[in-house]
Formats: sequence, C-alpha cells, structure tokens
Amino acid sequence: MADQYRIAQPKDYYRQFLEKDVRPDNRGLGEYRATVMNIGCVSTAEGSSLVKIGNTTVMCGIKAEVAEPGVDGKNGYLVPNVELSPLCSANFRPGPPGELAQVLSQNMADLIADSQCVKLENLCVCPGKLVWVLHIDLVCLDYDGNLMDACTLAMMSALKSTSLPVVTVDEESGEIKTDPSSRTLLPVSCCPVSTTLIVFDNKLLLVDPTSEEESLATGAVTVVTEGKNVCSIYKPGGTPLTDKQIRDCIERGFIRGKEARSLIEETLCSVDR
Amino acid sequence: MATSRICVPGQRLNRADDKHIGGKGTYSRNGFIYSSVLGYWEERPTNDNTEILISVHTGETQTVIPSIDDIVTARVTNVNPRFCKCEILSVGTTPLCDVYRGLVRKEDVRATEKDRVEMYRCFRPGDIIIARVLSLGDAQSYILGTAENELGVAIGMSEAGVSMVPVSWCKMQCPKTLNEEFRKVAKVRPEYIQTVHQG
Amino acid sequence: MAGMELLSDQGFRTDGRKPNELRRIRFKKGVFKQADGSAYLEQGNTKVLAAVYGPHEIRGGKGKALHDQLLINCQYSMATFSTQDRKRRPRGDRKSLEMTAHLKQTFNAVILTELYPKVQLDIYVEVLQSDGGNYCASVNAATLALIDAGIPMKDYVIACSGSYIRDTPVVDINNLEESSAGAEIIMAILPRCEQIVFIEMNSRLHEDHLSPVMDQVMTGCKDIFNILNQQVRDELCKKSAQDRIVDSG
Repeated sequence: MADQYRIAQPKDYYRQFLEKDVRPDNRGLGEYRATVMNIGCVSTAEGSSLVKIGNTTVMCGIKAEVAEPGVDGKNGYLVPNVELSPLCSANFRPGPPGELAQVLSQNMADLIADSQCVKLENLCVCPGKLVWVLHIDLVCLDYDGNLMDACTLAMMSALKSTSLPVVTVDEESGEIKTDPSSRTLLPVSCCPVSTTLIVFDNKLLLVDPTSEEESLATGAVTVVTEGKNVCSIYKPGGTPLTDKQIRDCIERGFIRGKEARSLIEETLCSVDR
Repeated sequence: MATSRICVPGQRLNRADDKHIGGKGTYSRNGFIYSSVLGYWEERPTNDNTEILISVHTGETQTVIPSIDDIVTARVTNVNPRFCKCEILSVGTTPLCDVYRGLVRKEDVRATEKDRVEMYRCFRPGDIIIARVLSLGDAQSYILGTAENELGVAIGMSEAGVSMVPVSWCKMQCPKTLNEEFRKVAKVRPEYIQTVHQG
Repeated sequence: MAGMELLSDQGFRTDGRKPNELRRIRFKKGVFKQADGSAYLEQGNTKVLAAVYGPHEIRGGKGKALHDQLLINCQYSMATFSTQDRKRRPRGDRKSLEMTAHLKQTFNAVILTELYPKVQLDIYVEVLQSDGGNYCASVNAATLALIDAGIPMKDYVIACSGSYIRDTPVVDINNLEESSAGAEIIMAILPRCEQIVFIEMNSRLHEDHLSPVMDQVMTGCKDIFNILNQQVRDELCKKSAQDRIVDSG
C-alpha cells in the first residue's frame, strides 16, 4: 500500500521521511550507500574495475592502442566514453548516446585534464613517432542514481590498475615490436574523487542520490577533491545555494574523498598483480 | 507448508485429465500439465469440487498488465474537451514498474447526463484518479471509464498545488486557499484513505 | 596454427580439457535491481550479462505491436574491452545484428507469447569478456534472466557449441578452437523434450561426422542444463527456508 503512495505522490512520500532526518532507504541525509569495488575483473582489458554504489553498477575497461602523435610529438591520448545502454535502466533508449551519456563522457575528460592525474607525456612510446591511446570505456550495468561518482571511482581505480606492454620501435625499419611478457604500470600521480549532492525542496541537501531522488531534485552539486585540494565544483543550474551550503558540500567532499581513496588502496592491495 | 514443492519451467506436473486442470504458471501440451515459471507447487480443488486446480506461484508479485475490468490508479497528464489522457500507475493494489498510457473519453466519465459532461470540470492534470479498464483500446492507449460512484478523482491537485478535500460528489476544496474546484469525485473505498494517511 | 595441437596425442585440448568436458560454469541470478530479471554467467573466460525488462508498453513505433501476442525485443552487444583488439562498435555491426536476430528467434520459440498481447519484452545481453561461445553463453544467461523475471516459458533453453578435431567430437569450444578449427556447430535445445530450437553450422564437415558431433553437443547441453537447474532449485530452496525462519521468528 505504501508503494502505491510512493508512486502516486513521491514528493509527499519523501517529505514525510525527511522531516525525521532519514531517507526511505534508511540512510541519513549525508550518508553514502555501501560502496563495493573489484579491480582487474576483465582479463582482455589492460586495466579494469567494477564499482557498485548501492545498486548503481559501473564497469570500466581500459584498452590501449598505439597511434601517431599530434603536432607536439609526445603527448598521448586519453579517450573516456560513458555508455548508458537500455540494459541498465528502462529510461534509456537504444540508439546513439543520449545527452546524459555525452555530458558524463565530457565530465570524465575534464576531470583527467583538470587533475592531471595521468600526464599525457607519460603516454609517449617513441617521441615523434608513437604514443599510447587509452580508450577508457565506462559501461553502466545498473542505473540507480549518482553515476558521476560511480564513474569517477571506476575510472580512477581502473587507471591505477592499468599496465602497458613494453613497446620498442626499430630505428631503421620502423617496425613496432611488443613484448607481452614484460609490462609496466601506468603512472597515476593523484586520485580525484567526486561527491554529488542534490537539493530537495529548494533547501535540503542529500548526499549520493538514488535515481528516484534525482528525479525529484531541484538542483545538484558535484565537488571533486584530490587530497587537500578542491579539483572542481560543478553546479549545473537548479536551485541557487548560499555560500554556507557550498562550503558544507566541499567539506562533505573531503570526507568522502578520504574514504574513497582508502577503499581504492585497500582493493589494489588485496588484488595480487 | 506441505505443498512447497519447487517447480522449474518445463517440469511435468501432472496428467491433464478430467480431474486435473492447469492454473496460473502452468501450460498444457500433449495431455500433460507443465510448469512455466520457477516457483512452488500449489493444488487446490475448484469451486465446484469436481476438479483439482494445479498452479505454480512464484512467491513474488507477478508482472501484471492492465486487462479489461481491472480497477486501475492513474495520473492525469492532459485534458481536452473530448477526452483526458493519463498514465496508469497501478492495477488493483499492484504497482506497475512502468507506466501505461490510458484515455478517459468524455462519454465514459459518468453514468448519467453523459452529454452535459465538461471535461475541465471533471479532471485536471496532476490528479490521481481511480478508473476501470473498459477496453484495451487502439494501439495507442487503454480506454478507461469512471462511470461509477467509487470511481473518479481520488486525490485532486488544486491550483495552489495542494491536494484538496472532497466536499461533494462534484466539488473539492483546497485547504490552503479555501477555493472550491469542480471534479468528478470518487467515493473512495476506506482502505484507500488508509494508505494516504499512513504514508 | 602450425606447431599448435588443438588436441594432443594424449587426448587433451589446449586448455587441458578432455574432448567431452565443459568449461567451468558459474552464474548468479538477480544481480541488478533496475531490471525485472537479470543474470550474470561465466563459461570459462566468457562472461555475459543478461537483463530482462517488461512486459511493458510498446516503445518506439506503436505499429510494431502484435495484437495477439508478446513482442520480443532483443539487443546483443559486446563491451569494447571484451575482445583482444578493441571493438569499435559495441553493437549495430553485422555480427551483433545477426546475433540479435538469432536470440530473438530462439526466445520466440519458448516464451508463452500469447499470454501478453500488445505489449513488449526486452532482453538485453552484454558480453563483458569474450572467449568463444558467445551465443551459447548469451542464451544460457538470458534463460536465467527470464526465469528470474518470472516470464512464463515452455522450458529452459540451453545452448552449447561443438566441433570436430582430429576425428574426435569436442564440446564447448573456446576462442582458439573456434578461430582455428574446422567446423563449428551451435545448438540451442529444450533439454527436457530434447527438441532443437536453433542450430547453426559453418565450415565443412563430412556427413558421417555430423551426427557424432550433434550427439556430443546435445550431451553438453544436457550437462549445462543439469548444472543450471540444480543451482536454481537449490537457491530457491535456500530462500524459502530463510523466509520460513523470518516468518516464524
């Protein structure tokens, strides 16, 4: 019976819970869902990971290819791509990538560029001749809100586990040789973590929204932190927030950042490489 | 439960003779009753006690689709002088995971004085209505009707955006502005009111 | 494949299996919440995910609706990182479209479509890691997802592949055997009534050899069926035992 009320009047349903500072799934307003991570689950990829935040599941696979560099001669390429297929939610239609998928792909690219976590010159194989192209494919398998955080977490943990084969170029013949037996780990200098909050009823801030909460939200904020630095703040319109509220968001971002980074480290340690 | 025997799709349950008939979750082929879903075996004599009904129940709510004569709950999305469009939210007490489109035509709104119905005085977008499925309709949507006392608007949204209180069979009052608005009000069954107040 | 023996003189295959041995099968039903039914299945190194949505209202072009039965919509896709070389198009290429059509035909034959007129059912299959037998793993995973969703079916559909190497029929072939050996036979069957729903063969095979391979594949299908069926039953058994504890406590 409560289910019917939830479908018919979702906002009222939520208000009754939020009055008592709790959400329908038993979380507090600032509480994250349980986060689970698995690294190195796809052996055909150079680096891979699976991240679950509550029900939201994202799989990341990184494939490396060699290509000719651009005019500067030494910078490699990182190409993130987020895929939201109809497999993960009934709201997505088959066909070319939708708006959300394109926005997320761009967000991921910006995140790498802003945080400088992977330096493009590190992807150089042979200056002027050969560089690495890393295709970072993020596939959403189950969509229950807060994709941004799940994607960043999946991407960073996959990057940290990525190892590239040693490639040598013969000076004279220009022949490319790969040695599959020896691999080097991709240098990742830092690990940005994003934290998403939504605004409910123009005043309450909820951390880590589910898809239902996202559909009721009047605004959203994403804070990306790295160590003690703020990497980016992204607030795509919606309800205006006060200075104090933004500060609260940033503070929450730092706490989450610390938790997430230690989770990545723990998982990396537990997986023998 | 003595009858909790597990059945899987394709499992042969019994001979389909004049004593046994297959119920929900089963199908018949070549004179036998087979299970079509994963669930538990259930045997029950039919009402006239002449046959035994064998069915397989899954223990979870089965996926339902609206069929003729079902009572459905729907949200009004669009009203025009001839009909109003709505999205069906639940069938009986089972919420649907995905909305189905429905249509209430002007002549199906009430049982009497059908020709004097004005759609805008019966439904407004955002209202939650209780209706009966009259037909599976065309390819576009299900045809719904509210021509019964128990059917019509259950929760009306006033112009101020608050849910209104019914004051008569054709009027509702907004608790905020005390404005009265016209609706085809449903005489809501007690159990429905209970839901709304429980949350 | 010079210098590489697909079947050694001792009768072992490249991955150490006997000719009639299946790869290890592991699966989990109901892995996702959004979908009405879902399953994850591993057959050796082939990892497949299947999700079922529906039955729900027809989407995109009402004209597709069938007035007396369910419309089944399939989509087969392979993750870009699932193969050795990166796949540029995860879906929509000819191979995927063919696979989509095959899946649709297979499941049209077993789902009791007449129970749901004018609505649609979606079956999505995603290959996460591919090591041969993609069709077989997809069919098996989708069967489990359909059971999880509670969609009425005539029977399980189980698929298995086979080949003929060095005068020996082999079953459940992997990527290496698929790409280098001669003939490949793929079969999808209803294991209880032993009916063949789908069969595909490519390359050449002497007619005398056909029936031993088919027999071997049939046995493989039944073995897979026994594994899946056993675990599905055990899980429900465990679940109902737990429910009873909750009820009485």
